[in-house]
This record gives sequence, C-alpha cells and structure tokens, in this order.
Amino acid sequence: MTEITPVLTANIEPGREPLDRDGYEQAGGYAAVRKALGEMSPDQLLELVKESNLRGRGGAGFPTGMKWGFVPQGPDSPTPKYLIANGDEMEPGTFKDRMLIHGDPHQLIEGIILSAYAVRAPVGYIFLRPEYQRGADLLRHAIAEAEAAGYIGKNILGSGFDFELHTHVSAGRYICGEETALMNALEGRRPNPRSRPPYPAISGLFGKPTIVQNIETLSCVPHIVNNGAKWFRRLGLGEDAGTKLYCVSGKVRRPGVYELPIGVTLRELVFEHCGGMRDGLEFKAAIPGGAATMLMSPEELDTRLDFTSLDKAKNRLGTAGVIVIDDRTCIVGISLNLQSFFARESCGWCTPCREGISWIVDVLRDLEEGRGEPGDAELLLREMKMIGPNAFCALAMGAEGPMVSALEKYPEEFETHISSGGCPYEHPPALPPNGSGEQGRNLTPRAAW
Amino acid sequence: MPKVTIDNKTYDVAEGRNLLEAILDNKLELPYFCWHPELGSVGSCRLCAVKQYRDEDDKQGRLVTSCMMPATDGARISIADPEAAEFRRSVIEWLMINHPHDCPVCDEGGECHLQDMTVMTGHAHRRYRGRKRTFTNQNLGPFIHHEMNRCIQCYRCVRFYREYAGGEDLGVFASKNHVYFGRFEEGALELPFAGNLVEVCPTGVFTDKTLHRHFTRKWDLQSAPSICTHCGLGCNTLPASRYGTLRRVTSRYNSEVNGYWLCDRGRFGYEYVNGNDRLLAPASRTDDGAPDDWETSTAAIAGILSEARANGTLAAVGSPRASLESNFVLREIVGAERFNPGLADEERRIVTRFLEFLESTSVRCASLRDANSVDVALVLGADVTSEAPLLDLAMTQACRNAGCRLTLTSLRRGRLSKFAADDLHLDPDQAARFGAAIVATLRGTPEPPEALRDSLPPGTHDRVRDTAAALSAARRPLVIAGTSARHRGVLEAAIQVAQALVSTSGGSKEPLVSLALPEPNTLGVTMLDAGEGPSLENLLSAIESGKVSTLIVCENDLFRRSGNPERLANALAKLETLIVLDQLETSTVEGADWTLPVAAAAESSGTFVSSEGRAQRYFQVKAAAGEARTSWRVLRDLLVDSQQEGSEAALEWTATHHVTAALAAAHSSLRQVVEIAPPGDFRLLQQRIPRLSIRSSGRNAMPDMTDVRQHVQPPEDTDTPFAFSMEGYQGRGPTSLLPRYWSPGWNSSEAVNRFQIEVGGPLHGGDPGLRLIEPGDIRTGSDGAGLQTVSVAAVPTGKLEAVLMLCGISEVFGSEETSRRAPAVAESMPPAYMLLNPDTAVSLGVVEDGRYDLRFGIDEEMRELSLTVRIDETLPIHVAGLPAGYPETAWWQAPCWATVEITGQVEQREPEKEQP
Amino acid sequence: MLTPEERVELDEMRSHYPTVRAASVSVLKWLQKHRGYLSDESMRDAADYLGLPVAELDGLATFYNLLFRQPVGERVICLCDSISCWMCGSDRIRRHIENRLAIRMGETSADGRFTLVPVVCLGNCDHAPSMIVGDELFHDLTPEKVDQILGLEDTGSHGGDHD
Ligand SMILES: Cc1cc2nc3c(=O)[nH]c(=O)nc-3n(C[C@H](O)[C@H](O)[C@H](O)COP(=O)(O)O)c2cc1C
Ligand code: SF4
Ligand code: FES
Repeated sequence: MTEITPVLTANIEPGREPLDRDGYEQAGGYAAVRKALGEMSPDQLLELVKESNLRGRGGAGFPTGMKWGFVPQGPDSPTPKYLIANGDEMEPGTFKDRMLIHGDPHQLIEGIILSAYAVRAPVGYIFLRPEYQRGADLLRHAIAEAEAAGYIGKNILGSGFDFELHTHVSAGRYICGEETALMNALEGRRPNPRSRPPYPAISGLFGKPTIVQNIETLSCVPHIVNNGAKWFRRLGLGEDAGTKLYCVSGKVRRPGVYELPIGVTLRELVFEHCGGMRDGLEFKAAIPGGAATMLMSPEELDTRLDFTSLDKAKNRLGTAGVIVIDDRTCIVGISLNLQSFFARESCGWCTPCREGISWIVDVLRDLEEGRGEPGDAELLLREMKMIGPNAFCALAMGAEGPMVSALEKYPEEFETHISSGGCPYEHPPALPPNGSGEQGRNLTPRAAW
Repeated sequence: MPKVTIDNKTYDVAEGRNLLEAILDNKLELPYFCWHPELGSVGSCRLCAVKQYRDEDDKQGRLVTSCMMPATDGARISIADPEAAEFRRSVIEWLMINHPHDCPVCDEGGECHLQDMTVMTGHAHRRYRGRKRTFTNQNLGPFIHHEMNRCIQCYRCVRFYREYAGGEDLGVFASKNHVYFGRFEEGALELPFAGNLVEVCPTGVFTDKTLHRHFTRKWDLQSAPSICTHCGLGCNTLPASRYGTLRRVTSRYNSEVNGYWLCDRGRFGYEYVNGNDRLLAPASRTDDGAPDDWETSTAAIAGILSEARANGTLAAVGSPRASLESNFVLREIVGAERFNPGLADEERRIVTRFLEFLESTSVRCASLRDANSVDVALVLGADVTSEAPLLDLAMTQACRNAGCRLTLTSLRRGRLSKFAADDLHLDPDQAARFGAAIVATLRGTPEPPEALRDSLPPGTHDRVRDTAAALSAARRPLVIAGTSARHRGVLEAAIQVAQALVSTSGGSKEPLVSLALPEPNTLGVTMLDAGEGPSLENLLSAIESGKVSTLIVCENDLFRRSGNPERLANALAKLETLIVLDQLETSTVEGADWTLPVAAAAESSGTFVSSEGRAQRYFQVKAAAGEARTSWRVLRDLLVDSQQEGSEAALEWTATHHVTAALAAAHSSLRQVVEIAPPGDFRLLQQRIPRLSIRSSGRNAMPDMTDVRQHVQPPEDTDTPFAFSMEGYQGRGPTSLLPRYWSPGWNSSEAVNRFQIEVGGPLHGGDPGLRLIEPGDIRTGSDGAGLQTVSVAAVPTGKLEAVLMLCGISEVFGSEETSRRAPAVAESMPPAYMLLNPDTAVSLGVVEDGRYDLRFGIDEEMRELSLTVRIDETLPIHVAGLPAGYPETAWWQAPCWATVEITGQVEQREPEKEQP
Repeated sequence: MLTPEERVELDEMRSHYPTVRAASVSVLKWLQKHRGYLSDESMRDAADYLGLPVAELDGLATFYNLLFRQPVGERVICLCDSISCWMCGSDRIRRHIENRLAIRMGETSADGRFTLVPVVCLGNCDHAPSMIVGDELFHDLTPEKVDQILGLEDTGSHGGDHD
C-alpha cells in the first residue's frame, strides 16, 4: 500500500476546528508567502509553478502555470486582473474542496495570495456554493486574521504587492462552477457560460484578465513554493505531479477523502485504502472523476488514477471523485440518475444540452419503467455522441462520458431492460452496512459542516 | 479580401464576417436561428453547424458553429458534409421535442422561420415519445400575443428587447428546459418597439394581436411597398390586406432608413384605414337625401370653384400627410399664392428655416443609419421617443455601441434619459437658450451672455460647458430638434450649433442635424410651397373679411393646426363653401359643405419626402374603402372640370407618375422625384408584378369569400406596376418594387437576407428612395453672429403660483392623428391629462389621478376643461404639460403662459401615493 | 418596502461588491433569509433598492435553485438526489419523508413546517445519503434518523447529528 506524508491535509484532523493563524504559522504556514513575496518576482513564481507540472484539480486538468502565462502583463495590459478561487464543488461524487475549505482555510488563502502575486492580480474572490456557508464564515474569519498579520492588504510584507480578497456565496446550480458562468454569476448576470474566445485570462470578470482556479489547485501552491518544483513532481507515482485528494464514495467499506500520491491505481484505492467492497458486494464499475467521467469496468482496475493514464484510457481524472458501483446496482438506473442531474443543471442556453439531455433522460426512464423499445440503446448512443461535443460548454460533454461508456461497456444491461420489460434490479438498491469502525486513513471528518 | 472554400468552391468574403455570414452573403443555404445581423452571434441554437477543415489534407474536419467562427482567409468548410447535415437535423429534432406542432392554429404558420429551417434540414420524423413541457402564457397588452410553448429558446427576443432596444420589462426566467421569456407579471409591454418581436421571433411565440383578430395567412396577403405615415421618418413598410381590409403592417427593409425595424405606432396604427369612421361616399351638407355620386359632386364643386376663382375668393389648404402629387394638383387649382401647405404657422416657419439651412450648408441631414453611429448627440427641446420613435432606437444604438455622449433637453425624463450623460428638463424657451449658450461657448465667447444664462436653472452652465466640449471633440456630432414644441428658437439654436461646429472645425467634422417631424410629408409639402403661400393666420383673416369664401382642404384637420378653435369654427362657418377631402371624420369634416372621401396611403400611390429629405414612393396595396378615390385624382377632375387656365395638361394625367413628372418639372427642388421608382406603366417581360404571392390559395377568386368564380373585377390600376393577383412577373424587380420578401425555402421575414448584397447591408440594386438634399461644399457658412432667441409671449398677470407655461407632451400613442384611431393604439393611449411637478400640484391643491375642472386663461381668453392630473417629478415646476394632438386639448398652441385655476373636482379618487 | 434598518444592512453588503448588479444575488439571499421566501413584493423591493429592472432580477431568482419564489415551510429539507446518495438509498429516504409529511418533492407540508426539495450532490458523498435542513447538514440517513431530525417521532429529540 502506497504510503505518503500528508501534504494538503497535514493540518486537517477530522472533527477538529481548523487551525487559526497562529496554529497555521506554527505548522509552517505563510512561510511560502514570506519567501515568494520576499525573494521571488511574480515571473519566477510563475516559472516555478510551471516547472512543478501542477495541473488543475477542478476537472479539466489544465497546466496551471501555463494558464497563468496567458495573462497579459506589462504597463499597457488591462487592469485590474482578478483571481477567482472556484469553490462551487457540485460535481456529484466530489467532496475534497469542502474538506480543504473547512479543514484548512489558511492554506487556501496562502495559495490564493501566492497565485494572485504570480499573475499580479490585486483582487481575489472565493466563489462558494451556498451549502458551504460555514466555510464562508471560516474563510472570512481567516481572511481577517491574514489581513491583521499583513498577508493581505496594501504593500504585503513590504513587497509592493497589494491584494484584497472577498468571498461570494452563490445560490445554487452546478453550472456556476463552469468558469465563465461563474464570472457571469459574480457579476450578477444569469450564469450562462460565455463563449471563448476571448479566454478568461484575456478578458474575464468585468472584462478584465481573470484566472479561475480550483480550491485544491490553489492549496498546492504554498507547498510547491516551500519544497520546490522537483519535490512536487516527484510526489506523483506516474507522469503527473503532486498528491491528489481522492474522494471515494459508493459501495466501499470506508468511503472518504484520501490524500495519496497522484497515480495510485483504482484497485489499490478501492481494495486497499478503502477496504474493498462492502460485505457481499462485487465491484462492477467505478466512475473515476465525478459524474462527468466515464465508467471503468473491472478490467480497468489497474489503471492509474492520474491525468495522463486516464487520458490514454479515453477517460478523464476529472475531480478524482471516485464513485464505486457494485453488482447489485443497475447501470441504467445509474445513467438515469446521472443524466437527470445533467438535464436539471443545464443552464438552458444551448439546444443540444437543454433539449437533448432531457430526451436522453426520457428514454432512460422508459427503459427503467418498462417502456423501452428495441433500438433505444442505439438511439441513446447516437444522440449522446452528437450532444456532447457540440454543445456550447463542457457540461454536455460531462453528460456524454458516463452515458456513452455505460452503453459501450455494459450493453447487456440495456438489452435486458428492453427484453425483460423493465429494470431487473431491486430499486432502490438494498444497502449493506457501511464498514465503519475500521480505522483507515480516511480523512473525512464527521462534523456537520 | 479573404477567400473561403465552401464545399470545394472558393468564394470571396468581405472583411470581418463570420462563416455563417460568409455563407449567406454568397447566397448559399445554411439554417440558423439565434444569429441576427443586428443582434449578432451568440452560438446558442447550434443550428448553423458546418464542418471545418484545418487544411487541404484534413479529411476528418470538425463540427463548428459557423456564426461563432471568423471567416478567415483560407478557411475550408463544408455545409454538405453528412455529419454536419445530420447534426443540424438533430438540432431541429431536439427543438421539436417540446415544440407543440400547432402550426394549423399558429399565426406564424406559413411565415415561420422554424418551419423553413425544419424543411431545410430535412427533419421530418419524430422519435420522441415523452410528454411535452407546457407553459402558461401572459397577456402582453393590445399589440402582442404570447404563446410560450412554441419557444425554441434562441434568446432573440430578450436580445432585441433588452440589449438592442434598451427595454427593461421583458426577461428570461428559470433555467434548463424551463427557460421562459416574458414579463415579471402580466401586462402590456412597455417598449414602443415591442412589435419587432413579431419579426425577430423565429416562431410563433410573439405574434401580432391585431392581425389575429382578422387573421390571414401570409401567402394570402396582398401587399405592396409603402411608407409609414405615422411620423416623418419615412420608415419603409409592407402593409398587407385581404378581402378589402388591411390586416397588418410589417417592416420593409431599408438599410439607410429603418433597417429591420418599425415602431409600434407605425406597425399597429394601420387599423384606422379599416375604421368605422371612414368616409365612404361623397356627401354634401345640402343633402336632399339623394345619394351623391362622384360625377354630380364633381360637377357641382367644379362649378363652385370656377365661380370662386373668377371672384378671387378661392383658397386651399394642403397637407403634410397628403402626397406631393395631391398637394401639387391642389396648388394648381388655386395658384401658389392661395395655397397654404397645411402646417401650423409656427411649424411652417420652423420647417422652412430648416430647409433653407440645409440648402446652404455642409451639414448633413442625418439618415437613421447615420444616427446609429454618431459619437456625440445633442437633443434640443424634443422628445425623440414619441416624435420620431425610430430615431430613439437609432440613438440607443449610438449610445450602446458607438459610445455616444448624449445631452438631452426635454420637458421630462424619458426613455433615452438612462443613456444620457446630461439629462436636462427644460421648457422649450430654456432649451433654446441652452442651445444658444452652447453656440456662444463653441464660438469662444467664454461666458455666455447674461441673458442666456440667467433664465436657465442653476448648474446648467456646467452642462453647457461639458456638452460644448464634447461637441467640439466629436468626429460625427448630431444635433436633433423637433417641431412639436412649436418653438422656432429651438430649431434656430440647433442650426447654429451645427453651423458653429462646421465653422470652428475647419471642415474636419461631419456634423449632422435632424429635425423630428410628426407627419410623413412635412418636408415635401414645404418644399412644394417654397414659402409662397399665405399663412393660416392670413388665410383666416381673409375668410373673416370675406376675401376668401370658398376653401378646399385636402387631408387636413385644421383644428389640429390652429390655436383658436372658436375663431376657426366661426371663420369656417362664414365660408360659402368648404370642401374637404379626407379619409376620416374630423372636426373640419364636420363643418364641410362637401365631403369627398379619399384613399389612405395604403390605398393609393404617391410620393412623400421624409424628414431626412428622402423622397420615397408608396404604392397602392388594396382598393380604397367604399367609393373613396385617390385625392390627386379627385383634385385633377376638379381642376379639369373647373377649366382652370392651363389645365389642359391635366387632361393627360391619368396615372400618378404623370403628376409626379409634372411636379418634378415645375419644382426644381423636387426634380429628382421621378427617379425614385419606375412609373406605373413599368413592366417586366410585359408583365406586372403580382401583389399576391405565388403561394396564394385564392387563385382566381381572390376578392370573394364565398364563391370560387371571379365576379368582382380587380380595380383598374394605372398608378402602379403591380397586379391585383398572383399572376405576373415572378422574378425580382427593382428594390423600390418589392411587394414582399420571399425566396424559395424562405417564407419568413428572414427571406430578406436573400435580397441583400451582403447580409445586413444594402439591398441588391440599392435601397429605395433618394435624398433630395445633399450637403453642399460650403465649409464655412454664415456665422449668424447675433443669435436671436425667440421667447414665449409674456407672462400673463394673475395669481403667481397659478401662472404656468403650458407645454405639449408628445405621446407615442395618442399624439399622432391617424394612429390614435386604430383600436389597439387607442387602447394604449393615456387619457387626456394635465401633467404637473409634485410641488406645483401641492400649490394648486391637486393630487395625482384626481380629475378636476380647470380654467385656463391665455391672454384674454378663458378655456374650461376637465382633466385628470398626473404627476412627474422631473417636469419643471413652472410647466403644465398637456398631451399634444389630443382633440380635448387642441384649443391651445404650445408653448404659452396661462393662468391655471382649479374650479372644482369631478370625482375624487383615492390618491395612490402619499403626497409630499 | 424596505425598512430603514433593512437598508442599513443591505448597504453594508452592497459595499462589498464592485458593481450594484454584482450584489444582486446576495441582496436576494438576504431578503429570503429574513422574509422566508422571495415574494413579488420582495422582488420589487430588491429591484427598487438595486435600481435594476425587476424582470432582470427575477431572471436570477428563478435561475438559482436555492432562491425560492414561492412560500416555503419553516424548515426547507434539501435532500441530495445525486449519484452516491441515490446508490445508497436516498430514494427510500425521499419516499419516507414524502409519506411522513404527506407531500411530494417540491411541496410544503399542510402545517407549513416543512418543504421538501431535491438538491444536487452536497459534497458529502462518503456519508450518503445526505440532506440539509435549514442550515444544518445531516448524513448517513435512515428513516429513523430522519424522523428524529424532523421531530416526527413521538418522543424524538430535535436537531442535528453531531457524532
Ligand atoms: C459544468 C461545469 C462545472 C464545473 N464546476 C467546477 C467546480 O465546481 N469547481 C471547479 O473548481 N471547477 C469546476 N469546473 C471547471 C472550471 O470550469 C475550471 O476549469 C476550473 O475551475 C479551473 O480550475 P483548475 O484549472 O484549477 O482546475 C466546472 C466545469 C464545468 C464545465
Ligand atoms: S452545454 Fe449549453 S445549455 Fe448546457 S450548460 Fe453548457 S451552455 Fe448551458
Ligand atoms: S445561428 Fe449559429 S448558433 Fe444559432
């Protein structure tokens, strides 16, 4: 079993209040800010992050340093620039940002300050989903503490860098996590995504250069500054860098958040760290990176869960929200649930997503309720392949992944739904006991956040 | 010029186009919904997908949304690619999931862009088995019908309404496939351009409620190109009729004038033509019960005319809402010195001065297209929104897209105020002084003369300075004035500002002016008259003194022109014979000895000169109501029968173009009007152009609802090259003769893209109409150093708080003469009122919505009237606003000082708001 | 109409946003928190206060799932119906709540105490099924636990689950 020293979760202890500034500083916190603002130019910091091979943890896995490099700089470049921490986290199966926000707010803030410095953004926003209100309170308190210590404000630590940081608590809707929709939401407009180009790094919030970064991505930055790019790169088991917060849910014995070197295999994650399947259940499938990624079959258990390996497997690491599905759970039912999610969370802007996905839902419901007709599986496959890549934003592509992979990898499930006139499974699936009591390195606290 | 390869053929494309535009510019077929040339690309419908290839070797390609991709040089795309075609078909299939398929009962059917695109993509078989989502519709007022289930979520409506036109009360609600377009709550749409939703919406969500009441499919509508008569801008229209009534008006594209749009007054004001108060047969007061017919009336009137002429007691009043042709023939009957053009005297002075100015300056009279892109604008004493509605829409574009800096001076806050850098609420006198102060500043007189300054509210001086500075720095400044304030000083100031901009810029600027005119031919009739005719005042005196005893009035209600109805009524009563030609009952018609029914614009052909100075021809759409005849024909018969000297030539006038030619020959300023459209005997391949579409279901028996045999002959038509049938030339004629936009596969109004040189640009063959007055090369012009300000007559004596300046408030719906007789417009009109500042209301002891008996004292005269009080905190405290163009308040001539007394209260309604 | 006290609080909130429009959602949320839901009147108050067209604000209010344009019960139950919770039995919890309160998803109980709405993944999938009641998160739900949380069992204690 792969062992690591926790990095992002070092200060997080289940059930305990997060460290305040003093505690965080005693644990080595804000050293990175001191170091970077004291010794490094923004460009050097940017180079360091580029070198670290940090890739975005919000779903797309875009190289963070490269994105920062797109921000126009220089005396004639537009000002101000903005840095947005994306804490919308609504991707089903994903619960890592919740932990970072509630478990170590100062780490996030430090990461934000550093990233803002690198792109020379004087203003930052932390965008939070409404259910993370307590997180917002914790963050506001931590921001005030950071301000009091001079880590936020004018001329931070004498570096000449000014930075202010605000929180915004949203009012729902998954689409708000899409970075351009998020900017519309922040501006008080309907959160429909914007067309690209222009890319946010060129023209984003209020028409100014804007960097949107996932909470986990930002939380990595202080550690890169403290320990160096090479250290960070070496943390990974495969080609990718860093540790990764894997969120495991579903029918495993010990669901939870696990900080592991990026690149553990699905098998190791499920059967070692999570203690395997719950009693009497067999592994049937897993979705590796939140609702918007493709189903993995038992044959794929040895695939490494990192960007590179999953890209090769025509899959995506996404948010690393691993949803484990057992043999008593219906793949059509899973698909219906997922597609209902995407249909409901569609912003309603473009035709394929708005109309197409709800058609998919309709057909899936027919299958589940015994109204399926021969040809439905083909119809689902064809329509979904047309909807996914041709919608306005990536939401529909997210819907395509699990649907197409379900049809391709579990065709017999769809066939039996048609031939046997409905769902052969027990609904809702019976729930064997959770294997609680065992002590794993499950990092999820149980406090009611 | 970029070259784009489309399905292996290479095409030239204009700079800066996107792929969809490039495709449409080259008249290739590609379906689309959400893109619109004026509203831009948003990429939401995804229908316009094509395959794009990286280079020649790329055989795979990828689907792209063509409206979102620039048409760069060397781009390679395929429309025909099977995957692209299938995707487009799927987009329609997806949209059809929730579309109700209610085409048979949908008013859009037959001119539905969704139908066209469905056919174009080939989607024909539905596979969806589920239920459709349904919405509740809203009552959106008298103009627009709402049917949300048909929505395909292209967002065009809100993009037009909010982003383009600046409306606020139409929104998009909810998300996913519940997205809903409507109002926060039921109620009439506030935007005076809401009618464009009917054309902007690609399906039947927003349809024309007035059409609905007498519905006809587009393919059965009979139409011809026409010009809107409800203000002076000359927007191009397509009125359409069936079975003898007008059914609707849609916009006729003209890139120089109205573009794709119309205002709601122009679109929905047409129903007066069908009204119950139409005059249908000639009538004489001395009616002995025997019906009058044209022959006997003409003979009788001709006799009266020749006698009166012999006595020297004949005079005539023309009209700014009658054609050049009618005015010309009328003028021929009585002679130039006895022809009054039919404007109120002050208005005539204003328009005459404006024309003089235009002829002697390098300042250009702005077209609507010009106004779209100015960088600084100054509006002096006009309410653009109600006086020239589409100019408001153009200014909205200037402010939103061209960053126009706008200074407004009008009586109160209006629709454009939210865009204005300076929004001043001034009476017309003050507006004129404000303009004069700007002139002084522009000319470098650092401190404007005391006299100018003192009468302006405190703080105005800064606004003067800022506006003048902006104007000086502008590249294309525009100065707008109006006539409905009836104040010469306002126009004078506007002219001087424009002139000062020319003379101080050394020719580096292209200043523009615009004068909002309330009627379609104000400029035309003024050019015809050329200031030669008597004033109304003189005419009245002449009647009073018996020098004039026979008067012909053509299409004019004199009570709208005169400030003294009793005097006018007495004078008219004194006439031996009053002959009135008109369409509708009016106060003038009431007193007529002879009433001659004449055709409305949609029932006749002729020429108008718009406020831009653009001469435009309109053509008969339908047969005239009852026995009504085109007024120039009635007048020609009178001219010939009364054997006026030199009337022999008129014997030859059997078609409109004969008269047009005669007037062009007689008036050098109008000599070009013959060129604006082909004459009535114009034929293509010896054929007429059908007024009915090739898709018409009526075939042979169009005018008859009950019988398939044709036993009603279509009216004889020498005036136009159009046929009252579907037979005739099926190709494309000149743009001035386009009776509809239709192209195979394009049955909706989107078909216009097949007629444009490039989509959104001018029409193939040029936009119709011709500007008669182009700026000269006069770079300096007179400096008019001693600017005169003209002020409103002295303040009358009386209780001070009750002395108020009466000013006319223009209403989009209600102030214009004919549209207010259309039921839908009438429903939208506010009832007659007196508008006051809240402070003034307090000092008068009146409350909002209360109805009061009022006594107005002007000079020595007293008027009594009951009006409802309305409150507007932006109105100056010394002003009482009365609605312009309302018969109830037609007795006064704005602006003037008056004592205002409350003599009683008619009915006390609970005031809705607490009074301060 | 907003009271002067309400205005003071809203002014404070507005000052955190660079534009008035950007403050819209927060203003709406604030009004909802204090008035239970966003009535037409509250919408007009917000529009008045922000100087934005009410149609535009309603475009926001109706977009977000946690802004309520209809009256809701004293406690709003947001039951997660996303994949992990569904797999672990959220559907059974839904039916249980529906039966106990005699309402369907989206409805308010007759006594006005509860409204049940679905919500997307609460980021609590390792303790599925989960729900939020009011501001509190509850997890590892069973029918018995739900009764307890909602105070529906005869002797039941109230409040959240803080184990
Ligand atoms: C529908 C949709 C929802 C998304 N939601 C989130 C989210 O909740 N949190 C997040 O960090 N990224 C989300 N993303 C990805 C963001 O658009 C963006 O790529 C990300 O915040 C960039 O940060 P990163 O580079 O650090 O991953 C979402 C994307 C889509 C298409
Ligand atoms: S794919 Fe289209 S409808 Fe769906 S969320 Fe993105 S923009 Fe909105
Ligand atoms: S027209 Fe191109 S996406 Fe709608």
